[in-house]
Amino acid sequence: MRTSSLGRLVFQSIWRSRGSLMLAAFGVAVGIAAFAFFLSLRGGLLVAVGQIFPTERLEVVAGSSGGSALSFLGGAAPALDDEDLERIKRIDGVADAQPRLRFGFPVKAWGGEEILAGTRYTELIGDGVPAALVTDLPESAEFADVSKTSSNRPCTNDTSCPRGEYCDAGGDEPRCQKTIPALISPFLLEVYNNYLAPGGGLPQLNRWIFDRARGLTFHVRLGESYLGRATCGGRADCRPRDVTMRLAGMSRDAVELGVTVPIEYVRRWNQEYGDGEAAQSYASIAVSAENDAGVTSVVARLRREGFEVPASRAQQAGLTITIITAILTLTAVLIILVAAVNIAHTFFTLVHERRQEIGLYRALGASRADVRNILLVEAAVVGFASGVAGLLLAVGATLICDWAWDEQVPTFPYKPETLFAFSPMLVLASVGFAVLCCLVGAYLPARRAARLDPARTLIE
Amino acid sequence: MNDTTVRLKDVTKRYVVDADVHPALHHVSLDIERGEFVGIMGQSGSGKTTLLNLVGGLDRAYEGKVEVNGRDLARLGDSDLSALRNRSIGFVFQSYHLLPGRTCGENVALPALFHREPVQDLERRVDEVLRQVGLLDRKKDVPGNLSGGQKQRIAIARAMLLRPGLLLCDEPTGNLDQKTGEELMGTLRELAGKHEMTVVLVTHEVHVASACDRIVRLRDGRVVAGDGGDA
Repeated sequence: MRTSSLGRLVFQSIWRSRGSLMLAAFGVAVGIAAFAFFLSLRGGLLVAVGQIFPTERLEVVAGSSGGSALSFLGGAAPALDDEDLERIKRIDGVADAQPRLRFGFPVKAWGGEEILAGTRYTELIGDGVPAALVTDLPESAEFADVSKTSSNRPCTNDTSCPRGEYCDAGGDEPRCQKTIPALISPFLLEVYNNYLAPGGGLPQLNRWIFDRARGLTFHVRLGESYLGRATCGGRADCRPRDVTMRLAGMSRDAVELGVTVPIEYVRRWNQEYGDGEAAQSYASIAVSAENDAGVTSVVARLRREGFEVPASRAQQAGLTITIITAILTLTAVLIILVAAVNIAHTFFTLVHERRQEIGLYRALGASRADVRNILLVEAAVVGFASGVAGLLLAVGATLICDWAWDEQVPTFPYKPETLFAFSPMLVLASVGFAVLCCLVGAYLPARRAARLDPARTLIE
Repeated sequence: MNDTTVRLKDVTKRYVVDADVHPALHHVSLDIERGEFVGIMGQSGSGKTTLLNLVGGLDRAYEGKVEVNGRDLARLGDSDLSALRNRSIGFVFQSYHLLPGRTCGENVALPALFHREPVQDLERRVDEVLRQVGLLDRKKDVPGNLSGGQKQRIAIARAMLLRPGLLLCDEPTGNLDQKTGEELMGTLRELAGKHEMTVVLVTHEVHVASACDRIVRLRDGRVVAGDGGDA
């Protein structure tokens, strides 16, 4: 049977049975709408999580056999060193590896007068990362070791230094140094807005305010905190000193609860206030896989090498989102399966109603395959239409949800504009699933139609 | 050249209903020559329609041999048998079997949809067969607006669209009054003669059968007259 003839017969059949087919297709469309809605919600939420936490990067910590042997012998937490860094870089599928060096000494900070209505004091934890690791800053944000480009002129206090510099008392005599660029994570802003601000009567900070707060400076005392002082490995000249940091931006690569500065500063400070080991021992190493598909195999190789790759917050959040949306998607799939049964029922009814017509087709020269194809193509067309209708329903529902999200949920940092993500693959999968569901539903009725005895149906 | 269009050789057909075997045809042998206009007569249940279905390849469960245009139907696969029905056999049924949602023109054109190659000048052919049955002016009408006789003419036009060599008619006048039936028979005869078609017509009406060249009588599934030996 020629395609044009098949199309003509299918169109005529669908038009004639449009009432019952529309009813059956409605069930499929609702199922597909739920399917597309939940999967796009999953996609959207994962994108949103990805904006807060880096998802494409692995964070490697020392495992039972990784890390320097000295750390173990000293009873300290296992740490990673340059040797580990080089080993990781050599692993197949690893595109890049960058170390993360923690502050190995007590630190406290104060400041925030400009946006927090008063000076705030806090213990400060932090770390240092190479500038190359930080990829999500705007071009205008400077995140690098700026000590070498400082004026380095002698000073007595901050006001005697050029704009953008502070008077650093380290070394033999105080000298002007550029303010140290520091990054905070969006997660920290979340913690501040959700826990610290409401409890302390402090103002909420959103992304807009934060962007305007870039360049804000705050003071940091190295070697002393509210909990104790640094021993500097027992050196007699160990004394705390103040530095000034400048908020350079918000980055997913910043430590979650603290500040992240260029690693060169932390190396020097760890030498100054910690022991020699602290300057070279990394808390973790950020590893980028060559491609997304290779992440799993890279994780396996890292673990084989004795490193630990704990699930990141992004992975944990992603897993939670995936589990919840998987349950909802499963519900949608069940709706579609019920719809498939309904499609089967409808097509069985249609075959019964049309049995004389089918018998006539057979008498006029239609083969069994022709009869089967007419019904299957009819089902595929119904499935396609249901899929498109379901997608439109889903898009409509997501627009309403996004509108409610925009109107009802207060602004917060990294608040996504949409909760949903429709990928081309999702669109194809939705329509394909609808077509498949209708084809499965119509298969047995089509087989029955093809096997109808024309001689019998024509004399009924 | 073989002039036998239809040949049945020792054909037996049984129906099984609720584990009971009901014989429909008993060792039927019959030859129908090209261009013959044959009437199959018999009482209800004598096996007339069964015989027609076997010749038309609509029923394949039988013993013996059925040949159409020299081709053993039992040896043809579904696809080839369907193609044979499409190209070489036309069917006319007692209850017309016109599709109600389509125009007369669309009903007549139906066999072309199952033709493996595009039918050349389809519209012209549809017009031609409609003109031959005298209903060209009803081409755009739906069957619901036609009388019984007109519906049957449309069915004849449909059967003749692809100019088959064999026309199988099952009680074509069964739903018509005698006058309309006689007019229809006249049309059938005229068209069969014009196109040199072989016609096998099942009927139980004597006046219809009397218009045939030969009458084959069936009784309880057996040919009792007209199989060629006693005609």
